[in-house]
Amino acid sequence: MNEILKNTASDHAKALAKGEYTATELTKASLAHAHERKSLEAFNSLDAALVEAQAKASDERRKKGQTLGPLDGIPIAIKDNICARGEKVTCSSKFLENFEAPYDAHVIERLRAAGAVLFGRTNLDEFAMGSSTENSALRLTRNPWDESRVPGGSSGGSASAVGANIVPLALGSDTGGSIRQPASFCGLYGLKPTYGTVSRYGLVAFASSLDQIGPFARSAEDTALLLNAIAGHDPRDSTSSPASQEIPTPFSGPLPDSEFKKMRIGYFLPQNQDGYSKEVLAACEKAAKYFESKGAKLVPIQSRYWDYSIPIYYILATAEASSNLSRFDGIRYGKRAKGEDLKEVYIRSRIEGCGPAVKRRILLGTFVLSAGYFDAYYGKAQKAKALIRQEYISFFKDVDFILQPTSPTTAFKIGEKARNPIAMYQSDVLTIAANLGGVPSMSVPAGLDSQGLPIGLQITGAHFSDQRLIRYAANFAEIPGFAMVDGVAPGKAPAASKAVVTQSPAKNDTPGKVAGDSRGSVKVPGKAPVQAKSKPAVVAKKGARKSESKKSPKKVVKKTSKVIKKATPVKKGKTAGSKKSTTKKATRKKK
Amino acid sequence: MLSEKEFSELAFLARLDPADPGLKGLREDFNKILDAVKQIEELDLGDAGSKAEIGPAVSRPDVPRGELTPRDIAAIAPEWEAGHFVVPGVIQSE
Repeated sequence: MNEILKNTASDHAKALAKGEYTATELTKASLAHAHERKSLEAFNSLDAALVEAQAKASDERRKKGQTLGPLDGIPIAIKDNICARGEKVTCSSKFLENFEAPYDAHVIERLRAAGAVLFGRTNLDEFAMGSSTENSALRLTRNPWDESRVPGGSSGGSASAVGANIVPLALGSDTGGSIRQPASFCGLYGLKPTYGTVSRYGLVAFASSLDQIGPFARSAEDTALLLNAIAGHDPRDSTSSPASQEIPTPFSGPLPDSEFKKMRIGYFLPQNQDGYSKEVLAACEKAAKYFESKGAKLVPIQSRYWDYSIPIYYILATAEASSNLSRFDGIRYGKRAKGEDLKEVYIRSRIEGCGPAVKRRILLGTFVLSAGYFDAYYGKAQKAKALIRQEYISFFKDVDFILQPTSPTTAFKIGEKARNPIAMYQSDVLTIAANLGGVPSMSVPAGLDSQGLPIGLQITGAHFSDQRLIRYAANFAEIPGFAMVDGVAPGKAPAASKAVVTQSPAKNDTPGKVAGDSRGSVKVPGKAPVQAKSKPAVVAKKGARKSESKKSPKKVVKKTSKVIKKATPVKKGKTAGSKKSTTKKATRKKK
Repeated sequence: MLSEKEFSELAFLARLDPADPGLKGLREDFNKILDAVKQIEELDLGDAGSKAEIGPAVSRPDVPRGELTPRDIAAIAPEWEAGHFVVPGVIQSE
C-alpha cells in the first residue's frame, strides 16, 4: 500500500494544495490498493477509466487555480443504492443488476460540484436490508480487520473500503444503524445525520421516514468535511429540512476542556447485558469515566421505549419497504421475468429478482398493513415512534449527548448469524432508536478488543446538533487507547477467502473495471488468471490499545447525579427498566 | 403463528408466488419474526399514545418537473416500443 493512503481526506486536501502529489497519483494509489485488497469484495463496480478521468480533471482545475474546495480530487466511494447518472445502481440485488441510473442523486450533484472523485460503487445488503452485508445478492464483503468476519451492514462495502484505506471517505445510508454499526465493526467514524439534513433524492428508498445518507471517515474532521458537502435543503426531497442549511460550518476541532465542566452526558448501558461483549461495555465505561474526569456530569438514561425499538422499527420499516418496493415489478425498469400475463410478470420478476431477506420484509410489511392488523401494529408503532422523538427532545433538555455502545459486540464471523434473523436484528438494538427519533447519531472508534477487533461507541445529540456532535466525537481520540493509528487495518486473510482473478471481462465492462460477478470472486479485465494473494496491509501499532482495553474500568454509575425518567407508565403492570421487565426480557431471549 | 394457508394468502397479497419453493422455506423464519414483532402488544402507550403527534404528512406540490426525457426512460425500460412500455395481457387473468 502506498503510504499516502494512510492520510485522512483533510491531509490529502493540504497535500494536494501544496503540490506534494496530484489527484491522479492519489487515485492511482487507491486503485492499486483496491486491487491488492480485492479479496474484501468491497466494490460492486469500480471503473478505473472513469475514476482517473475525474482525477485528471481535478488536476487541470488545480493548475488553472480553479479548485472547487477541500474535496477536489479526493476519492470517495459511494454505496450502491445512491444514483449516479450513467452508472449502474444495483442495490446489490439481482433485480437491478443491470440498471443504470438516469439521473444524479442530490448528494452526487453536491460531490461533483465539490470536485470529488467518485470512486466506485460499494456493496450492501440487498436494498440496504441487513446488518452484515451477507444479504447482498452479488458478493460477500469482508471485514478489513479480519476477513473471516463481516464488515457490518448494510453499508458494509463502504465501511470495508474506508477501513482498508482504499479511500479516505465513503457515503452510506442508515435506516436502522447501517452506517454506525459497520463503522463500529471497521474502526471508523460513521454519522447518521439528523433526519432531513441530507436530501434523500436519488437514494433508492428502503424506509423513507427513517433513511438518511451519511459519511464514513477515519477522523472526526473528515466526517465534518463530507457532511458539509452533502448537507443542505433540497426541495426535491419533501422531508428535507430548511434547517439543514445551517449545518455546513467549518470544523473547529474537539470541544475544549472548558465545555466539559458544564456538560451533562447521558449514559446508557443496558440492564440486561446478555449477549453483550464485556470489552465493549468496558470501553463505554472507560469513555464515560474519562469525560467525568474532565468535569462532565454523567446522567444515567432510561428510556421507556428502547426495549421495544426492534419491534417498532421492524413494523415501520417493513411497512414502508413493502410499499416502496412495489415499484419493482418488472415493467418500467429492472429485471423482467417471462410471464403469460401481467400478473405473472409482476410475481415472477419479484420472485426471481429479490432475495430471501427482501421477501421476508415485503411479507412482514404486507402483514402489518393488512386489514385487522393495521391499528394494532402499524398505528401503534407510529405513535411509539412519535413518543420516542418526544422522549429524545426531553432527554436533550437535560443532557448534551447520550453515550452508549454502538453494537453489543465487535464484528461477528461470516455465517454466524446468517440463518437467524432475530439474532441478526439484535445487532442493531442500540442504533435503531436514533432513526426512530430522527436525531443525529455517530459511531466513534474506541480501541480494539482482545481479538484485535475494533470497538465502536455511539454518541447521540439533539436534532440538528450534528456539528457539535462531530466535535464531541473528536474528543474520543484523546482517550488513551482509543485513537486509530493511521487507521490501518491489519488484514488477516483466512484460507477460505481466496479470490480468483480471471481474464474474462463481463459484458459492458470497461478496461480496468473491477466487476466481481459472484460471491468470493473478482474479475479484473486484462489480468492473467492467478490465485489472489491477500496482501497483508501495514500493521497498526496496536499494542498500546490492547493493553488499555484489558484494564477493567471502575463503575461509574455510582457517581451519577440524576436519572431521567418520564412520569407516564409504559408497560402493562410494570415500570420500564424494572427488574421484573429485565427478567421477562431475558426469558423471552432464552425462548 | 400463521398457518400455511394464511401464509399463502399473505404471499398473494404481497405479489409473491405462494408456490415458490424459496418462499415456503421462509414461513418458519417469518413466524419467528412475527413473534418478535408481537412484543409491541406489551407496550402500553397509555394516555401518551392518544396524544402522540404522528406528525403531518409531508408532501410537496404535485408539479411535473420533466427531469427524465422519453429517451432516458426508454434506456432503462425492460421493453419499449413506439414511446410505450410493452407489457403482456393486462386484465384477462384476473
